[in-house]
Amino acid sequence: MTSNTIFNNLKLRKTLMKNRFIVAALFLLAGLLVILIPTVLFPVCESEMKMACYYTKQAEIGVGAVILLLGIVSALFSDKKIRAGISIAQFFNGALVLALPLKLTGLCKMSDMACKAKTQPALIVISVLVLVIAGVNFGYLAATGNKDD
Amino acid sequence: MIKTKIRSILSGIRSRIFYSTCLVITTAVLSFMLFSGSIIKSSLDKGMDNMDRRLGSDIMLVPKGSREEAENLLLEGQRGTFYFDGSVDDKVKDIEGISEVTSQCFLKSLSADCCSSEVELVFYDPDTDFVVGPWIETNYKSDLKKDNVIVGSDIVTENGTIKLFGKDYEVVSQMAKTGTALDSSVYFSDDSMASVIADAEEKNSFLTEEQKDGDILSSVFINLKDGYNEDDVIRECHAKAGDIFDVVYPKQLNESLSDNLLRITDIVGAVVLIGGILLFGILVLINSVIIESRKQEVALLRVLGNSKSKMALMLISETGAVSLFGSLVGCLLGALIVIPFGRYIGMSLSMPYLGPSFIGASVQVIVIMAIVFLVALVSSILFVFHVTGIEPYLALKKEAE
Amino acid sequence: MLASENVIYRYKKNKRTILDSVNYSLEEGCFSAVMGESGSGKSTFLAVMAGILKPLEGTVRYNDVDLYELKDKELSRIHRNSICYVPQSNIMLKNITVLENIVNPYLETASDDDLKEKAVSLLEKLGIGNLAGNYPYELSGGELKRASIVRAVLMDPKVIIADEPTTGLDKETGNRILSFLSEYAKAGNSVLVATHDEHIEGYADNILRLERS
Repeated sequence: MTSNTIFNNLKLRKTLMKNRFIVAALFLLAGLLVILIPTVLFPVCESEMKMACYYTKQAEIGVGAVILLLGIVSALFSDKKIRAGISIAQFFNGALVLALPLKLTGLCKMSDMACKAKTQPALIVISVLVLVIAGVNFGYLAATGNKDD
Repeated sequence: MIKTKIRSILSGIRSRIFYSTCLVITTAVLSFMLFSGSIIKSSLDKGMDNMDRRLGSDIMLVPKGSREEAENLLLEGQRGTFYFDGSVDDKVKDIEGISEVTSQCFLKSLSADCCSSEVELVFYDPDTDFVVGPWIETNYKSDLKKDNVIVGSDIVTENGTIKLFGKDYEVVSQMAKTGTALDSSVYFSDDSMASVIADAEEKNSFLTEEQKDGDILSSVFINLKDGYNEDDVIRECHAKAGDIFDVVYPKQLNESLSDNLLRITDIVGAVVLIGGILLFGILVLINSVIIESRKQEVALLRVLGNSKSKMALMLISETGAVSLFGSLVGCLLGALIVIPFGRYIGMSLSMPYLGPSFIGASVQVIVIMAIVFLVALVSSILFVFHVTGIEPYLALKKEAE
Repeated sequence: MLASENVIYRYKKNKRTILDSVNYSLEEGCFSAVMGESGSGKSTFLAVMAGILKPLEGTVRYNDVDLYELKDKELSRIHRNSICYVPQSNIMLKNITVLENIVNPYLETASDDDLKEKAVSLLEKLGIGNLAGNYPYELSGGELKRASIVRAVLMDPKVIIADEPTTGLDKETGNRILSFLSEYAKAGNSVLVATHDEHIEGYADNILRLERS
């Protein structure tokens, strides 16, 4: 009989419960920020002609919505495995938020354009935060054993 | 043994999770402030150094009425076009007191890669130049041929070419980063000017009559010989070239920038200092609560056979571990925000700004972590000695009461 | 084995003499008790004997070594291996399990698994083996006291000094603890307890009565 096999069920249940809603709220907020950064907070360049940054903005709105919705979904499930799976998905969503402006759709070339000077750094910050939240949450769920809440 | 010590440290931290979290947050905020402040300051300093070297002439002659525009072009990188007669440099070059003269002409162009972005074209004389040359990164010694260009560090090229006025120009070299708007300029030999203007006309780009004329200059850079007075030389220039120019003093510009920089760094320094003192006070408070609340625990552990020095080491290790973790979080958060936003910070401050290298930033992180670690230890040391020095029974008795 | 000679103790604040030239000897294999009314100095006497409260005058010798002349590290070694003090209050860290509370102070002395195995077996002997993985706030006073005693005896010290080990406990639990300590003494060790509990007379080999000065 060791301490690893004897669980304090009440305490663990309480902790998992808190984790579920805190993480969901964090993903919700992060998804919202991914949408707001290129549109409202640090908007991309305004132009009649649709440039690279416009398409990046559109793509980020989509990814942001996915992050937000998956955040809501993760609060609805008590199953630890499902929530761990959602964390994996969110991790890759975070990577997509980063890849869109840096590689996939890109932004304007000149470094003093609004999208390069403001939007890009803000997206870098939020994407790293999403990666960290998803990674830490996955690690936490994997480490806390088989108990669902 | 190490595994046991780590377990022991983690166990101690977990036993006071709320206060440990407060300690992490405090050290993280302190580290964030120190790291961000130091990165911003060093980036501004580097930008200033570059500026100092970039504004490498004693005086600069610009067309009359365009002094402000010229200063803005140099300092804030606002695109500008202003012209005077193309023979001004020839007229002044033989004046006594002048050691070297070079001229430049500016043109604006829309870059085909990004329609709403403008690129400043600079036509210069490679034979007399002493302003552009020091900035060329690669060892480029050949004459700058027609259709060859040197680009600023921020210009993005495709397959070694850049498209201007619908035509491809070969990029033969790239300038080192200056942290100013000069990084987004394209440099041609003055021999190319006529053909570039012709290309622009062909593509129906808007050109003024002056620009179409071709025999124009935007600025004349002059270095003086030692011992000669600026005002005397300028008077002579007026006599030779007429009252067609204003004078910009690059070194004065630099001084005003330096003053700005000093003001900014004073403010940043004051904020960091005041914030640092407040946070040190908070650290002392948190440590006093954490360590004093462990009096009975320490007494019990001493009673169970742990020496004073071992207990002191345990408390210091826990404080150190928590503060190192908090410090790392703070520095990484600082790096995440300050480094990507570097360009924006420079633009907002209207100052040249040259961000740190990866190694430079990593060294800063280590230094800040070491400083915060020491600060956390200093804030806890008195309480550690107090708590480990109490007679164990007296500490336990208080708990029983 | 453990003996005090002319021990005097006075608390600085009230200047009342708590212990006035106390001479006492605790022999091997002996279960001794200290009794007296509140304020008679029972807990103080035990603390002085345990080497955790320096007397104003007098000596406390363990195997002819004056405890209060030793350097801190040497005294710590004696506390780790030979003389264990069980305080009146049940001090446990609330964020770690009972088993971890028992074993953690000794992790650098023996292997984790050995200590845990021994601790669980001792807890079972005292009737609380099933609570090893619980947190201290889930245990009753009696259960915590038993866990404290297990922590004290884990390294098989030659001397146990326990302050009020049965105070506030029900009769059955109190007897269980006293029975455990009595067996421990019979195994060739020494046990000294301070108590109000009259049931001690059924377990102790001798009783020292202190009077308030």
